[in-house]
This record gives sequence, structure tokens and C-alpha cells, in this order.
Amino acid sequence: MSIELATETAGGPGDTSPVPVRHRSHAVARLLRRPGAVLCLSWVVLVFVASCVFRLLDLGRPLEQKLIDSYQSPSGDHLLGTDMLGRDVLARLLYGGWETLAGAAVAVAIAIVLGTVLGLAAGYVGRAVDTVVNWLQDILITLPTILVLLAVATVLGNNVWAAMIVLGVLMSATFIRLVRASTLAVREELYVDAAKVAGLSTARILARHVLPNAMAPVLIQGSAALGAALVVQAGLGFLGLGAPPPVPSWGGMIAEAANAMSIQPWLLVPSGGMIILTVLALNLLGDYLRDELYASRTTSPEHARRRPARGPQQAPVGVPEAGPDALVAVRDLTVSFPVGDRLVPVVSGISFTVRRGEVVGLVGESGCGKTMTGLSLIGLVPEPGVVTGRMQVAGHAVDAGPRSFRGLRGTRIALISQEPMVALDPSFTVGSLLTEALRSHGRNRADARTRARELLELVGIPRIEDVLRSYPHQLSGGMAQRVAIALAISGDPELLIADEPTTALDVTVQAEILDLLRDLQQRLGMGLLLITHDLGVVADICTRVIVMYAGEIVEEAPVGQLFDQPRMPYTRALMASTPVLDVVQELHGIPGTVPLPAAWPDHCRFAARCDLVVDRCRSGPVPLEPVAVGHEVRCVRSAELALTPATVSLETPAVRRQPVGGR
Amino acid sequence: MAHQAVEGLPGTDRAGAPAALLQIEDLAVDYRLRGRRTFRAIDGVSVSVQPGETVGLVGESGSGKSTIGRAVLGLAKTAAGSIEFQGHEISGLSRRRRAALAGDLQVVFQDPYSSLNPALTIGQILREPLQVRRKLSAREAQAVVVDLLTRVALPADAADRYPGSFSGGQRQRIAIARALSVGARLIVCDESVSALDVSTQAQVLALLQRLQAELGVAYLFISHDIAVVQHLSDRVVVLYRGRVMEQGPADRVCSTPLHPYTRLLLDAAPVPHPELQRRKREARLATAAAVPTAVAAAGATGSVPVTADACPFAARCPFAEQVCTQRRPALTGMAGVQVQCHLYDETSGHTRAGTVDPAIGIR
Amino acid sequence: MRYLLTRLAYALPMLFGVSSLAFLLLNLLPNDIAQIKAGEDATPQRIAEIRAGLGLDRPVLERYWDWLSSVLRGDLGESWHNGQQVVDGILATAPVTLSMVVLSLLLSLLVGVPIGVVAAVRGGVLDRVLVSSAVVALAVPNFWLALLMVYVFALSLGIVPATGYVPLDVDPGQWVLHLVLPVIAVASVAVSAIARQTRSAMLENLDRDYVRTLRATGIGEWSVVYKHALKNAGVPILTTLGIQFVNLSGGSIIVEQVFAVPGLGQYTMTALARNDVPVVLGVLVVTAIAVVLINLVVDLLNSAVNPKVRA
Repeated sequence: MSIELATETAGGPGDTSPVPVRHRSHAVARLLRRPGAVLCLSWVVLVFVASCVFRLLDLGRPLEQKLIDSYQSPSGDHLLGTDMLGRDVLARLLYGGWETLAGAAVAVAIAIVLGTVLGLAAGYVGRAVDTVVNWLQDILITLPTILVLLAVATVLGNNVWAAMIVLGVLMSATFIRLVRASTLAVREELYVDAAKVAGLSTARILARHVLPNAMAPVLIQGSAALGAALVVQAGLGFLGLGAPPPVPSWGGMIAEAANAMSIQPWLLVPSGGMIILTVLALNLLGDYLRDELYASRTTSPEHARRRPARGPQQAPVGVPEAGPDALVAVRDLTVSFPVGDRLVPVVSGISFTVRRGEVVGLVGESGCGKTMTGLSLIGLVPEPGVVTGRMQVAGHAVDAGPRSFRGLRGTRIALISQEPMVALDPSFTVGSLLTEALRSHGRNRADARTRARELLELVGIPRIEDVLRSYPHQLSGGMAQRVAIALAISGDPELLIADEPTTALDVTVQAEILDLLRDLQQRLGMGLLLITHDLGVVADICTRVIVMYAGEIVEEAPVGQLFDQPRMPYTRALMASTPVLDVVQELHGIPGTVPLPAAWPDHCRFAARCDLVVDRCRSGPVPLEPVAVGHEVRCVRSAELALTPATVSLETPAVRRQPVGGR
Repeated sequence: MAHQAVEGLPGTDRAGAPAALLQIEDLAVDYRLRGRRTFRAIDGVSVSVQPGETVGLVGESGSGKSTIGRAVLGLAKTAAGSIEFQGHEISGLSRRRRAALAGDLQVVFQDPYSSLNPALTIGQILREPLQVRRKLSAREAQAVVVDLLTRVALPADAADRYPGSFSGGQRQRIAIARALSVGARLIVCDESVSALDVSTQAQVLALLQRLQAELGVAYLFISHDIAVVQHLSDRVVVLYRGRVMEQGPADRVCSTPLHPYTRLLLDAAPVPHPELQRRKREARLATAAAVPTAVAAAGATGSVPVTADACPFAARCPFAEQVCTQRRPALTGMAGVQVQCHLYDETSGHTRAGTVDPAIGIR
Repeated sequence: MRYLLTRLAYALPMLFGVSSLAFLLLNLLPNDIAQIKAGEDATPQRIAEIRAGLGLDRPVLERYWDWLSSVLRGDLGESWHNGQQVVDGILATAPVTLSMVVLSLLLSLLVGVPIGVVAAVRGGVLDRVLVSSAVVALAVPNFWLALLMVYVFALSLGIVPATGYVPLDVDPGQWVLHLVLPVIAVASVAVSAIARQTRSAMLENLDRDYVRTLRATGIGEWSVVYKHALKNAGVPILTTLGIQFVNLSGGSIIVEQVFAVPGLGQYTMTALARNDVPVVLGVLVVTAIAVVLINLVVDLLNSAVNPKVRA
């Protein structure tokens, strides 16, 4: 006997968030569009209704014995055959279904009501209530269900309803935990704070903001719990503790089948099949509901990003014209993701080169394809992305598949990412992470240990021995990013891709990390591709800048030229949106947002948000054209537009605001 | 910057001087740590906000800037000090008493994804406070919702959609509309534009300024980005580890900072111009080079815990001396700025006390 | 170490709570045990005698106190039916059940985890087949599966004995043969549950940023999956294992009936038929104590796997 509750929701870090990301009422509608879900729901409803009808109308005479007909196989008269007393098996299944199903429903109803009330109280009130409820919940989970029910039967005899009430109380533990967890999560949501600030009462906040969000997991679990209660019910019946004979019960029928196994093994099929199908339908309903209520990555294999995307199976073609000092050169790089049944590009046909000793900035708003560009250079575009184009990394022609990057990652090209805390494996110490990386680059154990210390010193970490023994969560954000950098340069890469390496850090720490990157880049002679949205960071460290908009390169220039003479209205608009210290400025912003990839037009993609737009902008694709040495722009008006220099310029250094505010 | 006139608004005291809309005096907030120990997250902070004014709270993580906002909103318990809003003490108010304030005191949070209940439509979110707080009928509330959406430049059909169908910037507009719906006089903006792209951030900042000009609402604007704070604020409060380092007129503090920490914060913020940024960086590195010697001489290495009797910045300060680790700096007022640093207190015993020219600021 | 102490400090009140609840459940529910024991036509006087003989006439709290103090001395009372010490009865039957539970636990770990990992890493058709099988297996009641296996492997094919039990020290070969079917039947649900949990925990972890960092650093795919992702997936898997222990012990009680294995299940069922309250209570309390201890072990294992738990 098993209570298959809580296995998928057992408070591990692998859980989906307790707060559903999609809206509920739509979920039900979507559920009914899935044939599997409809099938499951129909089966459960059919069995339940048929059982009620059979019991209430006393149809099919399930108790009627006809010894002459005993142990018949299925036939037209008896669709599922007859039992040892010649009674019709189907009629008995449906007649007995009522107790089984209604009993399970009672148990689950008790569990849900009790669990919701206690879970809400524990989660929202907290403190002592939480401690007590938690303790109670732990005790209920600890008690072995079947033994408790046997104990109850010992003092009360065969009492199906008493057993189901006790079962409900025991099962409430799962719901207490679920509701408590969602309540705690929702309580932390800012909209609950906003509701408090708005002066709404606790009762109203609970009813309107907390409870609805907590009910989604309850609904999912409720379906599975119904199946579990059914199995328990059948188990009791099997042990002879179900409805007293001659009233049939599903579990009791299995016991009868067991006794007749050598005479008529068929009897095992209808009795067991009924339980299995019904429990299966209930479990699947729960799964479907989960799929619809959560944007579930973990339950649907199609969306799982378990490994880097494979490239198309084609021979890699290099970029010979890139020249000998090109660390990475890409031509017509396109990264696409399937949406429905078509591939939608999120990076469309970009070409660029990063040379030895260069620091190239890749800037643009979020949703412009910067990160995907960076990941494609190291073969880590997540599944199911598809990468096409010609690519040459460190002199090797590569296709986009993970295999062709093997041997290049870490040693030729490396990556550091935005959130240092989550970018390091939480279960290993800094020391073991570093030595593993070093050993995978071919160093022996002793050598790796020495080098690990050198690397930490190189990235400016004090108290090296302590840090080597620390786990990532014991480090500050800045320290963790230094460790991530040490890890990245452990294989002496020629090119380092840094994806928003300072965005999650405080501004003073950002300055230190940028100093470190600049220093390492110069000392080790690496190339650096820095992905950022911050023009200040670009100005601080980059030698050349690539501006991306909606999956395309729209401007590329040496850093000084870009800031002094931007030629693309988008670049200018980004500059005009950036607040600068000590400069009197009117921030303009850019109306609207970056369009979604599926909605990218086939003319200038910035046209819809550009304040300099003319009809020509919408007449067709705009090529990227050179306007000066090393300066390329994608704009039909680049020749005629003399864009004013950006907010800050060398000629008019920092137009200071009046020292004492303008009040 | 919105410098609209505030006359005609209530809140002028008998003497004729404008009374503060929000007056925080000597505020302290404790956080419970594991067990019974507590940690003083806010220590002796005094800040005031005048009607129609924007006061910026700036600092890095751990500075306590958001905690001050939460204390004002009644979401964090105060351990000491007072918070007066429109002349009434509001710290430690019961939920019911505080509910009466809800119309005047509102909030726009950082995370535009968590601050709107995903299960409710925009219309429901905006109507709720109107119906509960202002006791409007459904029809009246609907009319107000349409007006609010227009004010924050969202289409009227937004009311029937769920938060999930809006971009980050649009969600912040909705959150602002919610704050305005009950006629707020003070809005706490807790990192309200930090999660947005600069292009969107600029639009939301412009919206905040426009609404201030139209409605005379005051903002307590909390941000880690000093450039954004300077852009929006009349006055700025620089916080470090729960204490005020310096406060004064925004342009004054940002152009001629007095406190070494303010200097560090300003120096670290990069300027979007390569040549200017190079000069700025070199100046910063020159300052930073002096830190280890000074800190070592002061005996303020990072491992020494900061006590209430020391300057919390001593461990990172190029001007650190023994006195900085031994005595809490006094609040000194000069040139319209209040600064808490031994350098400006001639009686402190700091060897360079009184040597900084307030007209030039610290370097 | 400090973690161990806090977990212990939590486990002790748990033990107290669980046993108290068990006692009160059996003693506070309205019952007519004396009536049943006395028979249909007993005189009220005879019933009262029986009640007094069983000590049922004393106040519940007094009996509770007596019971609790004897439990602390390791005495679970004696059977109402034959006066045998309950502790002795349990000691005689528990090893059988325990070997079934432990073997099922091992089986579900050894089969469930690899299935989950393969499903997560390989994906595609194999993943779908494994996931669907797990879903079906979760819906099959273990006693029915046991019957099916008896029919196929014992009655039809005659590979293994249908019923009975041979102790390990008598004949290890026979011990295994007799336990194969019961253990598979008991473990089927736990295998599916652990496979599902492993799969989702692996998918979750392979999707994390740190995995990208490891790959970008040039660490081999084998190490990324089996050393790093699997270790991080360990906590939810172990937690599931702890939960499954309760289910496995319950499951073996019923499956024992199918195979006529003389374990705790039979002991309990016999006692149940005779309304032998001290025996049922004893089994319940001992099992609950085992569950608490297992959860303690799981907690400690978790803290060994995940450094954050220790913090």
C-alpha cells in the first residue's frame, strides 16, 4: 500500500515555484482543449456517475447469485464475466464503486479543508502557530497510514467512513505543507505588501491575494490525493476491512479474485483494471493541471534545456578573410528557436570579428539577442535553439555543435556570466571547483593546487586559503565574481566572453571588477567580448563597440568615435536615455519596447520607435554600410543625418548643474 | 526637475514655515538574526520630505535604504525614533489606524513582476483600493481607472488584461497608477526603475516628474544608482550600513561631495564617455591607492566589526585615522549640507579636521 | 555537529508526539471491545469484569501515563490475547518486514535513480517511454501487482515459490527466492516516485547557470552530469526516499498478506482480528519511531550532500 503523495512536491530545490505563473481560469479552458485531459476527466466522471446510478437505482442486481453461472469468462451477457457465485462482475464493480469513490472523496475533502486552514494559518500568522502546525504536520507524515487505519479498525471494527475520516486527517499533512509553502511565498510577494500599504484588511488580503494563488497546487495535489485515497481504500477492502459482504468493494473483489486465481485468473483483470485506470486518470489529470498552471520546464521534455543545442549537421566552414589575429570571427550567424512549428530567429545573420588584445562591447536593450550571440560563440546556446552560419574560433573552423567546441572551451574561449552566486556550483568548494577545472586542462593534482592559489591571487582575492575552503554561498557577490573569473581564466583562454559581469553588483564593486578585467586583459593579452546594457561600462573598458537592436548589428565603431559621432538614431537614443552625473539633461527614453522576435519587420527594425523615421525606412531591409574607417551603420539616413554628439562630450566637459540645487 | 509651487497645499504651520510632509527622527530598525540576536540595520537616521519634494535615498546593498522605505510604509518595525507623517506619529500604528493613512502614503516597488498579483486583471488591481478605501461604486471606480490609465499613458483596454501581458515598463506604470488611485501625497519609490532598460527607465522617470508637476506629489526615491537619484531628486541622502553619511541638495552633494564615501560612490559610477571616464578612473585609482595605508594605520581592517562607536566607513576610507574607529562622528552642518565625518568636526581630533574646503568638496 | 544536535532536538519531541497520538487514537475512540470480547450474550457484569481485567475502567490519562513510562523502559505491554510480551512479538516478526523494506529501499534507489538520470539526460523517445511507465506504475496497487506476479511467475512459470518465507540464516538462496516477488511488488511505486523525482531534479539542475559555467570552463560532460548535477539533485532525491520509507513499510504490511510472509503485517492482522489493542499499538509506535529515525538519517545525509543545509 502506498500513499503516493508529495513525491514531486517534496520541498526540494527542484520544485516549481508555488505561485502559478499563468492565470487559473484560462488554465481550465486550456485543459479542456487537451484530448488526454478530456479523456481522463471523462473516465473519472463516467465511473463516478455510473456508480451512483447503479447504487441509487439498484441496477444490474449485483448481489444476485446464480451459482450455475459461476466463473464465466466475458461474454455478451456478462461483459466482464461472473464471479464464484455467478454474479455479474461489471455490475458489482459499479455497485461497489460508490463506497470506494465517495469514501476517497470524503477523505480528500477533509484533507483539503483541514490542510488549507492550518496551512494558511501557519504561513500567514507564522511564529508560534507556524511552529505548532509544522510539528503536527511532521507527526502526521510520520505515521504509517495503513497501520493507523488498521489500528482504527481494531477498536472500531469495519467502518469505511471512520477509516476515510482518519485517512483525510492523515493526508491533510501534504496540504498543510503545500498551502503553507505557497502562503509563505505569496506573503513575500510585493503585491501583498502593496495591498497592506493600500490599507486592505488581513482577511481581505488572505481571501483575495493569498488563497487564490495557494489553491493551484492544492488542486493539482488534490487530484493525485484522490487516486491515493482510492488505493488505500482498495487496500483496506483487500484486507477484508471494506464494506461488509455481500456489498462489493473494489479491493474486496481483488481479494475474491486472488482466492480464485487458479480457477479463473481473468477475475484479476476487471477488479484491478478498474482501480488502475481510475487512479491513472486522476494522476494524469493532476499532471495536466500542473502543466497548464505552471510554465513547467521540468515536466515537459520539449522545453527542457538540458544540454547545448546541436548545430546543423554540416561541415564547418571557417572565415578565412578574418585574418591571423582574429580570435573569433562569425559570418551570417543566426540563432533561432522553434515557436510552434516554425523557427524564429532571435539573432539574425550577424557578422563580426574580435581580434587579439581587443575589448569589444556588445550593447543594446534586453531582448536584442546579445546573450544568445555570446553563448553561440562558445557553443552553449540552450536547446532547442538552432545555430547557423560560419564561425571560426581561435583559428579553428567550427560548426555550432557542442562537439566542435570540445577542446576549445576553457582553453581558447571562456565565459563569465551575470549572477556570480548562481554561476558557481553550490555543492563544491572554491578549491575543488578550481582544481577540477585545472585538471581538466591537463595539469596534475599538485600542479593544479599550486595554480589555483596563483589564480586567486591574480584575481585579487585576500585570505586565499579561507576562500579555497569556502562554498560559493559563503562569499560576497564581488568575491564570487572574482572566483568565477579565476575559473574562466584557468585554462589561459585567448578570448573571454563576459555577459553582464557587473550588473548584479554594487557600483563600487563593479568598478573593482572592471579594473580587474582590464588588468587581466592587458596582462594576459586576451581578447574580451563584454556584453552589457550600460554605456558607462562600455566607455570604461571597451576599445570597440557593437550596438545590437532586435537581433541585428545596427552600428559598429571604435569606442571614441561611437560616443562622439553616433550615426544610428538607436545609438543616439540609448545615449539620450542614460542619466549622467552632474549633467543637466532631459532624459528622452525610447517609446515602446523591443519587438518580440516573431514580430520583427523586414525593413528597419527600429523604424517603429525612431523619431527620425521617414517612408524610405520601411521600404525594405537596410544594409550595414561603412561610413568611416571601422565604422558601420545600418540606417538609410546615415549620410544625411548629422546626429548631435551624445550628452557628454570632450569639448563641453560635464555641463555642471548649479552647485546649489535649483529650488 | 519639477520645482512646482507648493502654495495652497495644506501643511503650513503657524509660523508660516512649511511643515514637513514626512519627518523621520533618529530612526532605528533591528533585524532578527538566528536565535535571539539582532542586527541594527538602521541606526539614527533623520530625514524629512517636504510636500511636492523628491528626496533620494542612495547607497549600496546593505545600506538600509529600502529598510527606511519599509519602515515608513509600516512594513518593518521600528526599534527607536519616530516617523511623523503630516504631523502624526505613524510608526507602530495598528493595522486599522494605518489603513486610514493608505490614501496619502503609497508605494511603487522595484520588481514589476512581483508587485502585481498575476491572478487579477489590471482593472481589478486598480479598482480594489478605490472601492475599499474610497468607497466608490463599481461604475465610479471604473471611470477613475480609465482616467488613471490615461494619466500613466496606458491604453484604456489595459484594464481587462492580466499583468502577464505587459512589459516591465508598463507594469511600473500600472504600479504608479495604483499608487495614485487613492490620491497619494507621498509615494515611496523603492528601486522603482532599477529593473528596467535605460530606454524605459527614462520614460518612467519622465512620468514621475510629470505627475509631480501635475499633482504636487512628493517622492521618497530609493535607488542604488546615484546618477538616477541626482537626476530626479531635490535632495539626496547618502547611506552606508544603516547610517546617514551625508545629506543635502542633490546637485550640491553630487558635484562637491564632502563625505569620502559619497566621493567613492560618485567616482565609481561610470560616465558614458571614454575620455572623461578614463580621467575619472585615474582619479579614483589614485584615491584608492591611499586606502590600505590609512586603514592599516587606523586599525580598521575588514575583519574588525563595526561598532556603534565607530564610523562604519573607516575600513574603506582613504582618510581613516584612529579616531574613526573609536568615536562616532558628530553630525556637522555646513554649506546647506549635513555630513557625518570627523574631517568636518574641528573638535574630533582628526589630524586633517577642518582642512577640506566645502566649496570644493573632498578629493 | 551543531546541525546534528538541532535535528536530534527536533526528533525527540517528534517521538513523543507520535507515540502519544497513537495511544490516544486507540484509547479515545469510542469502542466496545469488552463487549466484543465477552461475546454476544454476556451479562453486563461479565463485561465490566473484562473491562476491569484489561484496565479499561481506569481514566485514560492514568493509563496513558503508565503506558508512556513503560514504553520509556522498553516495555510495550503484553498481548490481551495470549499474554505474550508485545516487544517479543515484534522482535520475532520485525526482521522479516525490515528485510523487505530495506531491500525495497535499495531496489528503488538502485533502479529509480539511474532511470531518472537517463530519462533526463537522454530525453526524446526513451524519456517519454520511461516517464509513461513511471506514471502507470504509480497507479498500480502493489497488492494487485503482487497477485499478478504470483500468477505469472509462481503459478504459471513456477520460477519462484508463491508464498512463505525462509530466514536468511537458514538458507540464503531460499531467502532471496522467497523475497524477490514481495520486494518488487513493494518497491514498484517507490521506484517510479524516485525516478520521477530524480528526473525533474536533474532537469532542473542541468538548466542552472552553474552547469553552463562548468561547460564553458571545459569540464567534461560526464563530470557535469554525474558529479555536479547529480550531487545537487541529491537533496530532493533523498527527501523523497525518506517519504517513501513510510510508504514502503505500509506497503509491505499488505503485500505480506499476499505472500503469507510471517512479518509485522501478519502479526498486526492477527491482532486486529482479536481486537488485541496493545499489539497493534506497539507495532504502530515502533514503526513510527523507525520512520522518525530514518528521517533523521535522511536529514544528516542531506547536510552531507548540500553545504547550505549545514549553514
